[in-house]
Amino acid sequence: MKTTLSTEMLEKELETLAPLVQRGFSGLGGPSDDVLRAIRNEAVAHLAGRRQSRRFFLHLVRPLAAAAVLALFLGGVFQHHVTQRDGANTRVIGHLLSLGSTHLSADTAEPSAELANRLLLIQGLDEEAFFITQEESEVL
Amino acid sequence: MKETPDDFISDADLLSAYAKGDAPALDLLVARYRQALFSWLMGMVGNRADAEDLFQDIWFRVIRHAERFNDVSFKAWLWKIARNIVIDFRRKRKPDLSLDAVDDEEDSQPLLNQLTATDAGPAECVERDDLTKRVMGAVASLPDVQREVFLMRVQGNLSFSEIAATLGVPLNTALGRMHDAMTKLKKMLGEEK
Repeated sequence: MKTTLSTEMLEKELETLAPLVQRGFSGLGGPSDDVLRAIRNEAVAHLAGRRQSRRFFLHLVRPLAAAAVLALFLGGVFQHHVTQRDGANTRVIGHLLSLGSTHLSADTAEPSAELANRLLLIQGLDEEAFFITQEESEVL
Repeated sequence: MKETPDDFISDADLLSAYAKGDAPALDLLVARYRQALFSWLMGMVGNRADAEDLFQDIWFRVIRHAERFNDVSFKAWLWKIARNIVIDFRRKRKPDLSLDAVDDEEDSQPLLNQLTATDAGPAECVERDDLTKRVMGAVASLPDVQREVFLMRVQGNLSFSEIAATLGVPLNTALGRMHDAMTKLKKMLGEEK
């Protein structure tokens, strides 16, 4: 018949067996001092390594952070300079463009009227005769 | 045994102290589990040289992962590491062997032949060596899966639920393996009681 195992039942059975086994195992002793020393050294080395890598990280990060701040500052100054220069250029160009357009409108208005008159004359017409009203044309 | 103030510091607190830079805290932790873990390893691998190498590997791994410890029980965590390291060790020796696969296979570790002398003098050793040999012989004859449960409970002082969690098996499986191991050991060591 299969019985259901319980923790309590096994613990009770162990009361006699465990001390005997433990006594037997105690005869084996523990790990050697060399092993314990190696573990201690590793523990210390690991902590030291961690501290060193943290220090190295800080040594690396501080100059990098300073360089980044400097780069940002210089970038800002440069940007400001460029913006100002562009603004001045824009103003100059705008001014030149406005001057140019004024000249163009003054210069081109007259020649085009003259050209129209010349074309009419070439065709044997004159300006005043060509542009006649409807009544005048009916009379004609 | 006289209690020292260090006995009141939990394992987890000691490990945390170590992780924060207190190297001696790890010494205390190693001292706490020195005998239990080493006995478990001796029972599992059967010779002192391998047990010492594995003992060292286990603590090296504890050192490397101390900051990441977040288990409920340090003891269960330690034995989980120990078990994984023993499995890796056996795979390297016999790539096709796993602790879970050899359920009822008789172990062939020549444990008795590999017992080494302890620090005690020759006269004192005679009786103790005799008992040690009997116990080790009986334990070595258990299948791996029973032996590891038995030694975790008796040497590691892990609770059955901790053992089940460490092995990743149901509690009843752990209890069953323990029961089988105890039945065999009682038969073999009956006359010692």
